[in-house]
Amino acid sequence: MAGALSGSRRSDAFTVILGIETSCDDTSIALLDAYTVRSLVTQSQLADHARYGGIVPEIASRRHIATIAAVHAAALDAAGAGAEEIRCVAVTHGPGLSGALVVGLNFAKGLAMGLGIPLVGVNHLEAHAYATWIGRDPSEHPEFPAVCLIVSGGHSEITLMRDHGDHRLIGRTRDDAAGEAFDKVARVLGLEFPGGPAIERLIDDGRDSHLTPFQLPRAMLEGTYDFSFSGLKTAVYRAKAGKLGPAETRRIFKEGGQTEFERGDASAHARMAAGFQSAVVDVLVAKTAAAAEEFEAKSVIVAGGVAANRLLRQKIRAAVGVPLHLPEIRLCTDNGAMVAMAGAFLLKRGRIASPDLDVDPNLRLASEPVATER
Amino acid sequence: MDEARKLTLALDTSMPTSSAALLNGADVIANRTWQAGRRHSMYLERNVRAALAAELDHVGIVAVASGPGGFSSLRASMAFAKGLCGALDTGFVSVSTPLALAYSSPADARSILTLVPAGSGQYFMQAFERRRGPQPLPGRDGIVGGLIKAVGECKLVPQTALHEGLTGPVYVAGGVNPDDLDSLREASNWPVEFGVQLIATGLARFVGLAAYADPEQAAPISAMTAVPQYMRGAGITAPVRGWARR
Ligand SMILES: [Zn+2]
Repeated sequence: MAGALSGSRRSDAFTVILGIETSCDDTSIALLDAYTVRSLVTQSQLADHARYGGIVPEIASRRHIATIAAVHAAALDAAGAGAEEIRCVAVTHGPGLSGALVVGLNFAKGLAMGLGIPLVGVNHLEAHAYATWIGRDPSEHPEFPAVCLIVSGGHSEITLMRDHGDHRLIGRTRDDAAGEAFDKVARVLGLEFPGGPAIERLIDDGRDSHLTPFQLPRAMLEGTYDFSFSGLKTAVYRAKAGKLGPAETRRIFKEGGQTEFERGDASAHARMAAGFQSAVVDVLVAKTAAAAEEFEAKSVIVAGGVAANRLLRQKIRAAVGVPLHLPEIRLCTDNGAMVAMAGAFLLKRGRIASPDLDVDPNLRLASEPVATER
Repeated sequence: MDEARKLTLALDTSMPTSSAALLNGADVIANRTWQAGRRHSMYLERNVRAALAAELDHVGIVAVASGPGGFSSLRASMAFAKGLCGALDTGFVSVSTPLALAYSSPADARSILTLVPAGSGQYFMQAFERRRGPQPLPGRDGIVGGLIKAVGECKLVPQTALHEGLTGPVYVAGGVNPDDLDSLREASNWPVEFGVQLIATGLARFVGLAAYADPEQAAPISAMTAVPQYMRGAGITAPVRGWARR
């Protein structure tokens, strides 16, 4: 693509990348100029899915195809950019919902072909980590090896990023994703979807009364970096249904509140929410900190929707001894900017997609062979 | 019409055989067919590139079949078409699959019945009428087989009820199971003529033809808001959770 950037102030792979993200319920397109977001337009579908209590794949796909062209036009508009400024199109091709990925990937292919510029296929999980590169000076970027905690409604994993494009999965959830556990518990507590922000608000509302959180179990799964949140979630379910065993009851309601909780008192719900949140956060923090130590990480990255959780941000900062990298709040949830950022590094390494690139709903993080240029 | 950009690129992924065609007015310049199975994202671009050769700069309209058909396969080509239009700033035309099928009929067919197999012994059925015979279109330099208009809505009907819509001699266009065509002939009081199965040759060129002959009927909506025709069971079921759990 020589000549595509004539007159540009940079000659590297970083300007201007258009990033497209449709792996789940957000239709999001961004223009990224080096590490700066020129524009980010996200059409959230939350309202369409809220009444189902989760993401409905067919609804997601229908919303994506109905809005993607308008989101693209709005992103160009907001950046004040013409199509001729774009050097590369980056798109999430997995993991995610198959039908949703199809829309973004094919839109991206048509766009890149029409503009005569390269396309790069981005791994969504990797893109989450790259959200921490955005809006920061290169001197503040994560140093490798970095331990990444990627937590959202769809994923909960710890990876070791040894270099750009070189990831190793070192731990993951064995059942529910952390965000998913938040969603399920929020439902039991009569809160709306998505559960994470709803639970934080409920805890905030009860904060003034200095309520003691209930004591929920933490599944630490010794000897592994895997997580499990289903036991925790089930404990909340059973507490609500009055079906806890005597030992469990004594532990969870050590400081009282059982009757109030079963009755549905708001303050008791807030105590359960707080107990649940600290249990999840404690597990995430302990595993991440231990991984950082074992793998002698030079930095820790926490990304994904759950990275917006304030308690997690606070506790992880205190627990790790190396520089911690958190995305801006708006870049925690799925967005086109993180896809563009990951795409810039792919482009730099020459990893241009073939026209045959397909969606891969179960795409895993890959370890590329060590690049010869380094 | 912009002379430099007078070509139509037409795409169809609503039929079991996908196709892409490049047309100059009513004339087909290139035609590609392929079997994508479920891997629509994988085969689309490569075939579009092959159909286009180096003519991308001369494309003024991207026409895409809007179904009915498989939801994801329809969205693949429609998303591709929208992306291409976003880059080239070309016109976007969405053509219903039955309308494109109707344009595959010979110029002397007056009454046309289009059938798209929908599985489980069912068909998407829509009737059309040819309003005028073959003629040059005003302001266009090709000759097309008249102007074709829909008679009623597209419906999902069981194979046993196909004859109920017939009120005269009819030309049937589409992909029809031979047994179903036999019973349609038997049940009908009128002659039934069956057209070419478009399985091998692809529908895209007729998508392009319909877009050329009658762009207004073909395109009631713009690229910004166009969606496929979702005619089958809604497919909207319980939410998935933990879809990316590994
Ligand atoms: Zn995500």
